[in-house]
Amino acid sequence: MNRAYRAHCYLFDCLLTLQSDELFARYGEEMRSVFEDELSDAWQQGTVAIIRVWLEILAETITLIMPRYVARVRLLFAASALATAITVGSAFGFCTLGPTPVVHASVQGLSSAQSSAQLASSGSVVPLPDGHHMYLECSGDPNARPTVILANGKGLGTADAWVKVQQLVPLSIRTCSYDAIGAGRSDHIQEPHPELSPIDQVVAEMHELFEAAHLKQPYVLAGASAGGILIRRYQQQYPREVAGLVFVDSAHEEQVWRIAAISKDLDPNWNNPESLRANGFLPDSQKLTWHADIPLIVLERTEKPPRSAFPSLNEQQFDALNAEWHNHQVDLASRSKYGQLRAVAGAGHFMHQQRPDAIAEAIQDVVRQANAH
Amino acid sequence: MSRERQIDDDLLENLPLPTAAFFVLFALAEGEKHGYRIMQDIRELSGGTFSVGPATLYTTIKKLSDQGFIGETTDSGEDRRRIYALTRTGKRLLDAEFRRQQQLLDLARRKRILRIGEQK
Repeated sequence: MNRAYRAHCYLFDCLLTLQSDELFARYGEEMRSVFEDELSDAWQQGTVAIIRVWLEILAETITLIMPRYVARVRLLFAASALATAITVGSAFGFCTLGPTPVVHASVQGLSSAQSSAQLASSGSVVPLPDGHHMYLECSGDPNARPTVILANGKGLGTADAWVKVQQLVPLSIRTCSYDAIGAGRSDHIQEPHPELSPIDQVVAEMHELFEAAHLKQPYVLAGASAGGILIRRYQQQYPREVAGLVFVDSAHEEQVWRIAAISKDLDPNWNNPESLRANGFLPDSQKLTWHADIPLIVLERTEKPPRSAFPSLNEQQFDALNAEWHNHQVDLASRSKYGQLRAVAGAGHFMHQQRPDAIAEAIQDVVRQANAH
Repeated sequence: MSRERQIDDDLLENLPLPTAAFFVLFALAEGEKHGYRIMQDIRELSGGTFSVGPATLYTTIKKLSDQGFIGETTDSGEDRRRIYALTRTGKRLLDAEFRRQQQLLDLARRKRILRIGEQK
C-alpha cells in the first residue's frame, strides 16, 4: 500500500506543478496534505472512491489550467495563420512577369533591342566643341518653343528608349532625344561606363550638345529614373535655360541614405562617396534643398516591383522601400509651387515603355504651362 | 436598519457569490476550520451535489483571503495546518448573500412560481 500510495502522491505533485506559481507557493503544501487526507479516506472506501477523487482532481486541473494554455495556443494559431497568409499572398500577389526593374541604375541597351519604330524625324551626329560627337534626333516644328528634350546619360541612355514617347508628342512641339556619350551612336570614349560618369560631366555634355545643335531655348527637360536627378542638376546649373521639368518615376538625391536605412543589402555602393557623387546622390542625412518655381510634373508608377526582385528584403523592408519611393515622388512634386504629382495607372518603373502616352501628355501640359508664363 | 443597508452596499458588487466561494463561507460560518474539513463540509452542506478538489478549494480560499472575507491562523497544536475563519466583513457578505437569496424566494412565492413552504 505504501508504494502505491506514494505513486498517487507523486502523480498529484506532477499535476500540482501545472497550477499557477502563486497558488503553488502559498498553498502547495496544504494542497498536498489535503490530497493525502482525501486519498486515505478514499483508500478505505475502495477503488471506486479513489477513482472518483482522481476524476475530480483531473477535472479541476483542466478547468483551472486550460484558459492559460488555450490562450497560448490561440496566439500560436493566429501567428501561423498570418504567416501563411503573407506567404500565399505574396506568391499570388506579385506574379508579374517581365524584366527585373532596377531602382536607380540606368537601363542601357534594353530599349534599342526592343524598339523597332522609326521616327518621322531627322537624326544626325552633332560635333561638339571638344571634338566628340553625339547623335541627336529631333521631331516637330523646328521653330517651336520651348524645346522638349528627353534626357539621357543617367537613367536612360539612347534616343531609342524614348521613341514611343516622342512619337506621341504632337508635331507642333519640337521634341529632341539623343544618345548619351558612351551610348548608341554617340562617341564611346575611353572612360568609365556612362552610368559611372560624374553627373556634372554629363550635365556639361548635355549643355554642349544643346548649344552645338542650336536648340531653341528655353528647354523642357524630361528624365526617367536616375535621369530625374540629371535634369534637376541641369536646371540648377542653367536655370535660365529650363522652363519646365517632367520626372518619369524619378530617383531622388536622398534615396541612397534613406534606403540604406531600410536595408544595406540593396546597394553595394551605399557608402561609397565616389559613387554617390558621380550619380548626384547625397551622402548620409544630407537633405535636398533645391526648389524651382517652374512648371513641374512628377509621374509616379503605380505598379510595384515584384517581390522576387528584392530577395534580400523581408516583407516589412519591401513595404518600407515602396513607401519610401512614394515619399520621394511626393517630395519632388513639392519642390515647385506649380508642382503636380500624377500616379500613372498600368505603369511600373519602365513607364517610358508601358505608358508613353501619360508621359507625352505630361510633356504637353508642361509646355502649355511654360508658354502661359 | 438603513445604516446596515448602507454598509452592505459596498458588498453588493460581490453578489451573487460564485458557488465555491459561497460554500466556503457557509462552511466557515459554523466556526473556524482547516482545509480538508472545509472540503468535507462543503460536500455535506450541498447535500452531495457540489464538491471541490484541492486546487479549486485553495484558489477560492486565496481569493477570499485576498479580498479580506476570511482570515487564517496557524494552528500551533497540529502539524502546521492553517486554520481559516470568517472575518467580520466575510460574515456580512454571507448575510447579504442569504438575504439576496431570500428575496428571490419571496418574489418567486409571491408570483406563485415557487411552491416551497406552501401546502400542496
